[in-house]
Amino acid sequence: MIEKVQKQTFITTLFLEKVMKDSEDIQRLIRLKKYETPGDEYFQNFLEDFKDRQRGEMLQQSARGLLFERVTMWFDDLSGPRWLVPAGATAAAAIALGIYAIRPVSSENGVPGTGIASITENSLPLASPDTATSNAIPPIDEQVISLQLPRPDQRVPGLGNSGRPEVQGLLPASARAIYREL
Amino acid sequence: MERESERSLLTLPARPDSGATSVETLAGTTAAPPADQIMESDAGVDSATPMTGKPVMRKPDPDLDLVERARRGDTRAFDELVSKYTPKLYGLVYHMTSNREDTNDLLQDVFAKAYRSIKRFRGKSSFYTWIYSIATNMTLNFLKKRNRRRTMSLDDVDLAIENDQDFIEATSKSDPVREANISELQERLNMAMQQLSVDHRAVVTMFDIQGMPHSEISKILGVSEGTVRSRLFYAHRLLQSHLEDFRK
Repeated sequence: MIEKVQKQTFITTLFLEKVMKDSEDIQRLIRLKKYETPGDEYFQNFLEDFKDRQRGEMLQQSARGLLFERVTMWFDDLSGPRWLVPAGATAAAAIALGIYAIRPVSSENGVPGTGIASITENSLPLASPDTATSNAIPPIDEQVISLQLPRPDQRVPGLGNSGRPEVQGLLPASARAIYREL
Repeated sequence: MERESERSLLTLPARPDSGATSVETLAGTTAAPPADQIMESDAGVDSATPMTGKPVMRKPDPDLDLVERARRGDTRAFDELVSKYTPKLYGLVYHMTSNREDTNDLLQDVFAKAYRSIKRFRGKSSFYTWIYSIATNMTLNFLKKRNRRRTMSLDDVDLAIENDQDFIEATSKSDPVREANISELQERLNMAMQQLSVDHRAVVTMFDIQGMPHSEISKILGVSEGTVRSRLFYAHRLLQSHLEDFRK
C-alpha cells in the first residue's frame, strides 16, 4: 500500500516537473516577443500626435458647449449669494414665458390691439399655376381710340349751327320740345 | 470548458520576479468582471489583498506629484505621464492585438480617456495600476468587438534579440528555431498568441512578456491571484501545443 502511494507520488512529481519544464520553455519563447518594438522615433512622436489629437477634439467642441461654458463662467464670476443665480434664471424664464403667452398677435397690417391679423398679400395662399390659368380673368386688350372733335367754327353735317342735329319734322311735337331742352 | 477547469487546484512554478515561492498552490475562485465595469476601486486594492484580507503597506505612488499637478490642469505634468507610460502601455496593447495600427489608435484613446478622467482619480490605487486598467479594459473590449477579424501588422524585431540568452539557447537546441529566421519566429509566436482567448492573452502578455507580478495583474484585471495563475497555466498549455516544434 505504501509502495503504491510512493509510486503515485513519484509519477506525480515527474509529471509536475515536466509541466514546469514545459511551462518555463514556453515562457522563454514568449518572452522573446518583448524585442518587437516600433522604435524610439515612434515614442518620441507619439506625444506630439497625442497633443495634435487633443487640440483637434477641442476645436470640434460644439458651439453650444462653449456657450454653456461661458455662461457658467459668467455666473461663477457674479458676486452675491449663489442661490440668486438659479432663482434669477428661473424668474427670467417665467417672465419670458408669460410675455410670450399674453402677447397680442399683431403685424404691420393687422388691427392693433385686437389680436386680429389682417390678411396681407403675403398671407394669401399661393395658387397653383393651373388654378391661376383657369380662374383668372382674361386680360383686356387695350385699344386706343382716337377721337377727332370738330373745331367750334367747323360745321358738322347733320348738325345745325347750335351743334344740335337738325330735326326736320320726323319727331312728334312733344319729343321735339324735350330734344330742344337737351 | 476552460472556465470550469480554471477552478481546479493546481501546482505551478512561479517566476522569480513575482515575489512568490517556487511552488505555489493555486485556486481560481472568481470570474473576471466585464472589462468596462472595472473601476478604480476595483483595480486598486490598497487596504487588503484579494486573497487574504490582511492589510498591506502600500508603497507611495511615484507619480503622485505629477498626477496631482495634472489633476489641477497642468498639461505638462500629464505630458510627462504620457511619455513615461507610452512604451509600457504600447507593449501591453501591441502584444494583445498583434497589430501596430490598432495599437496606436487604442493608445491614443487610452490617454485621451485618462486625460478626461484624471480629475476623478482619487489615488485609491497607484496611477500605474489605474492607467493599466484603462488600457487593459479598452483593449479587451476592442478585441471582443473585433472578434475573429485577425490581421497581424507586426513591429520590427530589435536586433538585440540575437544577444538574448533565451534566444541563443532556443536556437542552439532546437532545429526548427535555428532554421527559422527571426521574422518567421516572430510570426509563429504572434499566431500562437492570437489562438488564445483575450483573457488568457492578457495574463500571458503581462506576466511572461512584461514581467509583472501576479499581485499586480490581479489588481489590474480585478480577479484573484489564483485566477491569474490558473489562466497562465492553461495559456501555457495551449501555447505548448501551438509551438510544439519550436520547443523540442
